[in-house]
Amino acid sequence: MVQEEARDILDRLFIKRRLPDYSITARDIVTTQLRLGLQTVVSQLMGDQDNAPPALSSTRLRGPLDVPSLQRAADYLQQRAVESAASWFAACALIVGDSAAGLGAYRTALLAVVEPYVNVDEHDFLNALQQGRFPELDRALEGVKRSLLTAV
Amino acid sequence: MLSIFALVVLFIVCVAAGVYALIARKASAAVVPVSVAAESEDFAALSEAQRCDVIFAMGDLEGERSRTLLIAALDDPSPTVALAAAHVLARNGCLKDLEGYARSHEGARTAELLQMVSLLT
Repeated sequence: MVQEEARDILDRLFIKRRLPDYSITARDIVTTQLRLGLQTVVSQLMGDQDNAPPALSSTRLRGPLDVPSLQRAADYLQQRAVESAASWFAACALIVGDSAAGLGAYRTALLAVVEPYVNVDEHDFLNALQQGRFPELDRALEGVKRSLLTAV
Repeated sequence: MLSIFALVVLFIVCVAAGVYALIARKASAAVVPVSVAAESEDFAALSEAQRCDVIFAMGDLEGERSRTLLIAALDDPSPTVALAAAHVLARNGCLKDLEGYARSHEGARTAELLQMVSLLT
């Protein structure tokens, strides 16, 4: 359910970014439902069953996780506003993979870019999404493509 | 006497059937298409971004009316709004509607639309 909700938001954002001069708004990047879903998944992964909202559905993640980042994500989700970058940080922290290469390296690069925006005004994050250039993410994404091609 | 009574009953039944047919025809002709047309006019008056938002919201609704409006939005002058409609239709499993549209709207715009939808689904 969280995966579907996140995918839906990214699909809609992809479509609306094709509009000329479209300005991204907070509701384009997160919904309350997604935020609650992420909070549930992260809290349960971190073993905080008491503070986790009721599970929406079963959750299955396969592969190495970055536990310190997940812990920070849990804290951010508790403390920061819905429209902050906390949800995106949590979504990035949920990417599974070895840190050395491929998806794990991409996760590390994403977390490094997104984390500074968690503590600033949400408009700065929206501006970064709208206008920011992140060559380090492009390079990491190329690494993901290479590792996927190697696996095939 | 009996035949006159039967004729009167037959006359009454015919009149009732005629009135019913007239009312039913007026209802189907006046209510649904005019309402859809009005909605279409309202929809066309919105900005591209607003039209996308309406389409995404309609995607969460089930029913023939929202499906009809989504199919109509495939012909939107904005390719992005049309993509939004195609994406929502595909996500909701209305692939036959997209296939039907593709058959009746061959061309570069439709080909690109379907290519983009396949990327998203």
